[in-house]
Amino acid sequence: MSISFEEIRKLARLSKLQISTENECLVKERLENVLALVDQLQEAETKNTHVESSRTDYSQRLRSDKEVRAVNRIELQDCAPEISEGFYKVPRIID
Amino acid sequence: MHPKSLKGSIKYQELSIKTFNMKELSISALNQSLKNKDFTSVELTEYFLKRIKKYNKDLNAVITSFDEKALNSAKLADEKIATGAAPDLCGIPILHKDIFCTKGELTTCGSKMLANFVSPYNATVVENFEKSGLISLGKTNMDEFAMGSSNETSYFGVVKNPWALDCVPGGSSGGSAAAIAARLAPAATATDTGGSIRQPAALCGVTGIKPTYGSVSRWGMIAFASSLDQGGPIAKTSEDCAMLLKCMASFDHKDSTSIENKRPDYVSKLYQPIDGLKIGLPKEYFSEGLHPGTQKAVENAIEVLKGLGAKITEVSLPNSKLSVPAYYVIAPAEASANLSRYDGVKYGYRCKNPVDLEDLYVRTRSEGFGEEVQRRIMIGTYCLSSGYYDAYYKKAQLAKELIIQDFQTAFSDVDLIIGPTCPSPAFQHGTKSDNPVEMYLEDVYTIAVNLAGLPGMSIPCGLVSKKPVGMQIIGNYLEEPAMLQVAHQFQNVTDWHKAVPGNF
Amino acid sequence: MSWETVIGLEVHVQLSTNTKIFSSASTEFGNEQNSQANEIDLALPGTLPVLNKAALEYAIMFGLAIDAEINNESVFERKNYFYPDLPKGYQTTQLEKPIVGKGSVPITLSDGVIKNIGIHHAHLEEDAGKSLHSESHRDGYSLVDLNRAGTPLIEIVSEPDMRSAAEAVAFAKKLHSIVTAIGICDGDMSQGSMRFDVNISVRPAGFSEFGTRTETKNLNSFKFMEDAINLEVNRQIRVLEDGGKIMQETRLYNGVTKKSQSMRSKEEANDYRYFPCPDLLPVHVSKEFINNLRKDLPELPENKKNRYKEQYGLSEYDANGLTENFLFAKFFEDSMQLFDKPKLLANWILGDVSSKLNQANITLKDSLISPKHLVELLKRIEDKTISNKIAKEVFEEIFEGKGNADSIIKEKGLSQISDAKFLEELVSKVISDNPNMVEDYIKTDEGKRKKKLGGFMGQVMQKSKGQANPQQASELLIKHLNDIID
Repeated sequence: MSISFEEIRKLARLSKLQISTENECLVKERLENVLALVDQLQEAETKNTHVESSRTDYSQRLRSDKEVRAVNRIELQDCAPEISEGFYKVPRIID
Repeated sequence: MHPKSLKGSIKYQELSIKTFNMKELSISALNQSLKNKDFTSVELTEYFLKRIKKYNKDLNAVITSFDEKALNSAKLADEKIATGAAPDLCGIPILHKDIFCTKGELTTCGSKMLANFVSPYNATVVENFEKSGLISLGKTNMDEFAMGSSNETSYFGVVKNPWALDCVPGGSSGGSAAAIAARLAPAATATDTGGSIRQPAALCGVTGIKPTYGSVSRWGMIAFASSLDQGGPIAKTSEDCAMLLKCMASFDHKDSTSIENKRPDYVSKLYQPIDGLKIGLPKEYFSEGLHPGTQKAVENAIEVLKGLGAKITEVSLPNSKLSVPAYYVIAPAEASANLSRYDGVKYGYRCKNPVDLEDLYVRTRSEGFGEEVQRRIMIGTYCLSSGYYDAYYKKAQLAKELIIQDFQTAFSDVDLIIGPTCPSPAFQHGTKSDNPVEMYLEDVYTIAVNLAGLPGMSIPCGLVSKKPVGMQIIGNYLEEPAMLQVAHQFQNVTDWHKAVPGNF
Repeated sequence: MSWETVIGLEVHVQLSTNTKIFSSASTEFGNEQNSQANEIDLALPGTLPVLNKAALEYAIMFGLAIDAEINNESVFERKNYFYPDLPKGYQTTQLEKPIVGKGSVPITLSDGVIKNIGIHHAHLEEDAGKSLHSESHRDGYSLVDLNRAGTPLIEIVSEPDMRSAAEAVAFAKKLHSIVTAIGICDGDMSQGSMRFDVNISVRPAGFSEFGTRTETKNLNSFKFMEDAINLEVNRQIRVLEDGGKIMQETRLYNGVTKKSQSMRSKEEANDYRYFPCPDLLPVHVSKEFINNLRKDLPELPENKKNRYKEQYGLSEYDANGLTENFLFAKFFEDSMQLFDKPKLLANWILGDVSSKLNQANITLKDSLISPKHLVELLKRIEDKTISNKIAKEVFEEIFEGKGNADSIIKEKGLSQISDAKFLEELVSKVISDNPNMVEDYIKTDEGKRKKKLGGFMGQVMQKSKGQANPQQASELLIKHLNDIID
């Protein structure tokens, strides 16, 4: 299965990745290698198959609506790249 | 060299630590020795920290060594042991794959994206071991975000196979497997999404087990493919793994996919003979693509099992050929979403001087993620995108059902399934880097097990050109005790698991 | 050309649970930034979601309140996109298998006709965080607060059954009264507890095909919604009448400027790549679980309204007004416990209380008025200590927290003057001071004299500082004036 440069650029945009023009050809080639692999799925005879519920037949467990412990903001923001008075700071969001 | 045999002849205090070949002692023996005060946890920890310092530059198996912190924990462990009320395994050192969050220490996931990330909390796996008094020695190297089968994609450099330094140790838990093979620690944690415990264990000649999906908590285990990821131990023997798994596996209410069923007693069947145990050999696993040396080694191992009383039959897993394609849709799809959180906003790498928001995201992710990770994110995005979702993602889920049915059919006839872990022994660095699919096919025998959520393990069963070969044992859900039993009984009558590469 | 408007609503309702939908951090409003965002809300590596039982229960309660199907298996999916207030880079929501299926909500139109608005489905999802933006765009920055990230929401999607802004507002208000009455939402629009996205299209009257629709997002008041709808309908009609085409787009309405604008086209970015969330298992609810919730479901506004009409003889208008707002309903019922005068209470609650609250821009729960306060006041009217008019003055003081009825009446000496001698003297004085008015009165036809009393009453009230018992004063005036005539 081949993939066009346009499609690759679209994927990159959706994934927030950047592919340099020098690399575009190599990326295309390797993506096509993988797509050739996954296209083998089309050989599967799955007409009469359906997806069962979670293999172990469990249902989503429910949690009680109680606060367990207070948030330690200082501890959690210690690893943050840029904080301003407790806010996460990013370049201006433009809608 | 069993300590007990020396007690009678030599004055106890004169015994030097060097009499104990600490690196070869089993976990159970270490346990005993610590309780007997043959040596202290501090001495044991120092011993392994020294080994790491000495050998890691050749192997690059360890990213972070805890040094001071480990010694402090060891001191506390010794105090606990002195009270006589220490839990089992208290004082035994363990390495953690750098995918498990360790509070106050770096957790890099083998990536530039998290090269500076100090986790504010512990993974449940780490908590479990620390509560039992094991000593966290450090964090092992791994393929970036667990994506790889050779430990060549790590931001922190390739890991070398102790058996052949020009060869890969396997991946993604290459660091943990290499560390055990080189005896840098008696125990290591690892994770397995498509074979990442079993394949490196096989290539490094050590034992590793991926338990039934949901057995080990994923809280604090950085996610790659949520429905496939599972943590498990790597160690020298099946018995060691059983004891480690007992500590590692637990129900965790913080993980919605954690199974609530009582976990089986992993050590309960170890010492029982395997007479009459029915073992199936999938014909699809013994066909083209299998290295003749590997095939021979596995066949010899099967003869040993026959000798122990196992009944061998052929089974078929007709949809095997769908495993790798299905996996390379499902895993990247889940990964593409799991890795969206790495955006330079809350933690981790952030590009310098982003000009706007788009620039922040794109440059952070393009600079922070390596090539394989970026490729898988794009494949995942592709398979989920509108127009392709049905043909890829939905189709892969259906293929997964077929694979599950194959196993259930087989397990209605046999107790366990056995085959080679990998198609060939360890290959040289860089030899599978041109076409990503060549690398993906390394996992051809291991992947189906993750898709089905079944338990799988690998034990050493031979050497081919001085490189280890592993035998894979697959069980039905929660059948780890039987798997560990077969492995242990095999290890009772063979020596492959005792082999250590020359320089270590 | 005559046009028909077609409107569908998507309503986001914030559930008033204690903790978030997938983490146990508090959902309390108004605290310091990021003080309620725990490791799960921040999407730290290795963190995982677990579903809040109360969130599930509240969603089911909503479904029961609108007679909808409750799906006994529902699935959470990931909606993928990048935005700083979305920590995981995806929102956990529901798509193919939501918790609540088809239902309907009856609304009463202005002419009294009841119309059923169809509900397509309602699903559970998590809210995003908030951001503040710097003034300038260039070298500008935004500050992100993730306190709200992870707050449980139900998104209620209606069928495109509404045909006017009035219907849409009636529907929105009805939903508001339902979710507050059953206690799943605090209904505080100023805090964003309920937000509306409106889908609007127009078509020539009589056409059965739908026109192209636009979406106007994030309206958080009934007034804004009404204005935004009318603005958009007019815009679309203008475009079509000019021969143009409606672009399918998302618009933002600015309640201050009263203008709307098209958001930057996110055509491509809209590939959300939904897939079932592998960190969560399918949610299964048993019939028993649902029935227990049904048993304990608080009284619905519609039922309460009918009960008020039957039990207390209140009019449709009064009953509706009291039950539309669950705080009013509770206040009314608590007051009834102390003072069995439903009509009087209804008048005061829907009249003076309501308008004072509107003026002060607060809700009942934030005000200083309690049922006890109101009842004490009304009792003083009943026992004629004060007139109705004076009572309104006293009420103002009570509202400001200056005391209760008795203390204020005492302090300000507002007791109604019913002293016959005083009133006699006063009335006589007023009459003797105003001979022209008296003459005018006498000249007026008997049937029309009542109107002329007003002038005299005005003077009586003025001279008595409003405290004369109006009924008595009125009787005395008539008596004295009649005496003069005779």
